Amino acid sequence: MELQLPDFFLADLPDGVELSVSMIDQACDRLKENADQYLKNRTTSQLVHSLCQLADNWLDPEFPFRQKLIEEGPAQSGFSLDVLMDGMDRMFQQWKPDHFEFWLVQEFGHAERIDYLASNRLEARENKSSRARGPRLITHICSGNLPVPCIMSMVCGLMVRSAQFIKCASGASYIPRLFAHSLYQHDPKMAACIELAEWKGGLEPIENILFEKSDVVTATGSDKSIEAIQSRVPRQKKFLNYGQRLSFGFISKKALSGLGLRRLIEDAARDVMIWDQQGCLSPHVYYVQHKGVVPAEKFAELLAEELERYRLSFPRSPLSVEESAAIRSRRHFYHVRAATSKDTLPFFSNDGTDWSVVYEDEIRFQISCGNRFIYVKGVHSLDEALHGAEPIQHKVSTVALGAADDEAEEFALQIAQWGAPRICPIGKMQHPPLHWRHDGKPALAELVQWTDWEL
Amino acid sequence: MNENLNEFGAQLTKDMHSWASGQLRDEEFPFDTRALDLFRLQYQAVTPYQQWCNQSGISPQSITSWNQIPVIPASSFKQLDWTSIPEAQRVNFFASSGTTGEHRSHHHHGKESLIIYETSLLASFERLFLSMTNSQSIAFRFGFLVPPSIDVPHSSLAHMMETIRRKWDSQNPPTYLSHCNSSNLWVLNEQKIRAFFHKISENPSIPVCLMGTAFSFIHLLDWGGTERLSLELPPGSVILETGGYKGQSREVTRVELHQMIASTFKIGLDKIVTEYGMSELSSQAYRRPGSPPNPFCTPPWMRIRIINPEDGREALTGQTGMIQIFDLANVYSVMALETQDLGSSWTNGFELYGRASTSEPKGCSLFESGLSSGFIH
Repeated sequence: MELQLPDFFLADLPDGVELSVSMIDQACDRLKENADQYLKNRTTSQLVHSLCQLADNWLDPEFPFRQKLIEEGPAQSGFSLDVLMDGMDRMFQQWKPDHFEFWLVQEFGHAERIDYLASNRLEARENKSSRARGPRLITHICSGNLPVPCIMSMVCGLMVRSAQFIKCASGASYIPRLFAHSLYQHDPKMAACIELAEWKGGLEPIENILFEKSDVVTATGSDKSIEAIQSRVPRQKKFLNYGQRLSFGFISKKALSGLGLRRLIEDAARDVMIWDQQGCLSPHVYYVQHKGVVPAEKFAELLAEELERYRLSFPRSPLSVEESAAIRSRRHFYHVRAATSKDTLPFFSNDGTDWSVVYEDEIRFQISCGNRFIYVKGVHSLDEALHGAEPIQHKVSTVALGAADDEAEEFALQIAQWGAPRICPIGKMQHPPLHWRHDGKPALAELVQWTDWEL
Repeated sequence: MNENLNEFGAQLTKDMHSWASGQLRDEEFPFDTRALDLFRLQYQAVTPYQQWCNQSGISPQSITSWNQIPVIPASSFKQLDWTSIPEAQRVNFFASSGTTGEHRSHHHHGKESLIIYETSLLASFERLFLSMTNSQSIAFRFGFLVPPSIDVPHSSLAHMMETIRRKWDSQNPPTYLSHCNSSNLWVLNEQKIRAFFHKISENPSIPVCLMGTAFSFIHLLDWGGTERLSLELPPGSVILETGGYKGQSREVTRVELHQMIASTFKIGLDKIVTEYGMSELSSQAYRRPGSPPNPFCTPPWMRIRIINPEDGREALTGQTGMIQIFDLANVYSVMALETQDLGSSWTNGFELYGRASTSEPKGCSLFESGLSSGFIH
């Protein structure tokens, strides 16, 4: 039976219905009342339990919302079915009570900090307890490249018991909306504290009332969009922003020499495949150390072979003409360079732009055009790789590390000192844990205000 | 080697003259034969091109039609000297416009190649531009919204205007209405513009031919508005607008620009022609005025192919793809180029949608796709 979504959110309104200032105004008031009534008195464990149940539902092949996503998601999101479901499943698999507990303790020092004046062991020794309060209303301005961050924004707001207005990017509300409806069916009171709407950013009258009514505004997107939003959020409101970021990997010669080589190549290809390299955690470059048993050039070739396997098992999403043209132009550039320089080796899929690997014996970081276009660059050391990445140092999100056990800690320390907010194994780049500090910032702790009780 | 190219060039210029005078019809020009001949010569004479073709497994013996000739990316003029002209015989090069620090392409020219360039240009201007504007003669008062070519010797656009001026306006003092400022940007020469429009008002019986880039027209319209200067042109005046304006001025759509031009200069929309050319080519395409917009037309020695960028195959009529240009007037370099522009083909020409670029950041992820936008060469 076909699943019909009721008109529950503003995003459900038919095309052509224009949002008005009073609609937004009223929605904000209603959200606040609902959160006061339905959310404030729920315990953390009740909320976590409900969300984990919902995630289990989503992972169940029979779940009607999952089936609807399978049916309509590719056309609505532009991602191929395999890429989309792989990315969504990876997110829901993270939603386990112990992961939530770890996350809450990491953020607040105690899992029930939102529930009551709580003390951890050290605080009890100091006769102190504290409680954290979420803002009454959060507005999340979400970017359109991936659906996961938008859904995770909703989870963050629920964890701190805030009413939330989710403003989806133009053309990107389908998956967040489907998730919100699944929440509505599963836990209507929780869903009643969330509003969801879609419009092309910059509708000032609507956005101004939204900012006015909110206590906290979060924004994810391009630096240009964030700057534009920030200039309009009133000063007394808290503004949290997550601008443009990019990621890369470093693979040491020892990692290339061990028995795990096959696995390493698979993992490196997977990081390129997940979400078709559209996320800020996707790699643009793999720096590969020279003088391993497998030379860096050979690594590029093996990576290309692995991406070819993924082409068949996890086809890339169809591209717009502009996206294909960007890849084609870039491939041309490297074809010409390879014709005149031995330092460049291009490996490209046949009959299409499904994947592209460019090996370069040149350390300077290169920004990819995405859609499975990856650079492999030979380096002599991690120092050299970090030196090559200096131009984008302030924009780095994740550095994936492929290293032998006896050297990993030293490398990780060096990368941490360099300033990367996140270090993870190769293969886990687009699979951050629930407790991941987004761009190095605590996702929940940034939202709350504290009350300390000193005894 | 270049003797064969000289011979080819001599025959081509002869055809250009015949076509310009109406003696040679479009369909009489043997494009396919000429293209295959030129490919054979360029394969021999342009060493990197031969390597490029060999990499693709294509040689003059292996193909039978012009549309099998291997194309080179137009952007690769930034990387390689695609030329058969020995260094000692090069007299100039045309460079792509670019921002400071960015690599610019070099399309080398010698004495012979410039003659072909100029012949091609003048033939198309006479045959296409004039007929498109229903102009009876070339007795215009010319105004060029570019700096004099002597100040910007590597600009193919300025060279184009200078060639037109020498041919049809050599009796009058040059009327270059722009100049380069201290940052090397093209800006309006306000004094000259005032003098130009003053002369027009003194003798409004001579129609004007005003030529410039889209951004120079926007600057002129904005400046004229601020200065409250009448920019009215005499009846029969025509406009040739060329080039983009990204980053050089406020951006308006081409339709808006043409409407602004028509209302400010008090001329009909049917007197505004758009030109499409680039420093890597030696011929230009022109768009006949009209609404809805007409496709671009080329002289018979220049053909367009639209390629689906995903699989490299020829796109269907009306389908958007990347523009490939086969310009036989590129005798001494390489005639077959793939641009980074998107367009579509129509039965009587092609439509241009502009530069393919996904350089706009997508959400929180940082991408730079256009080869000219931050991609580090």
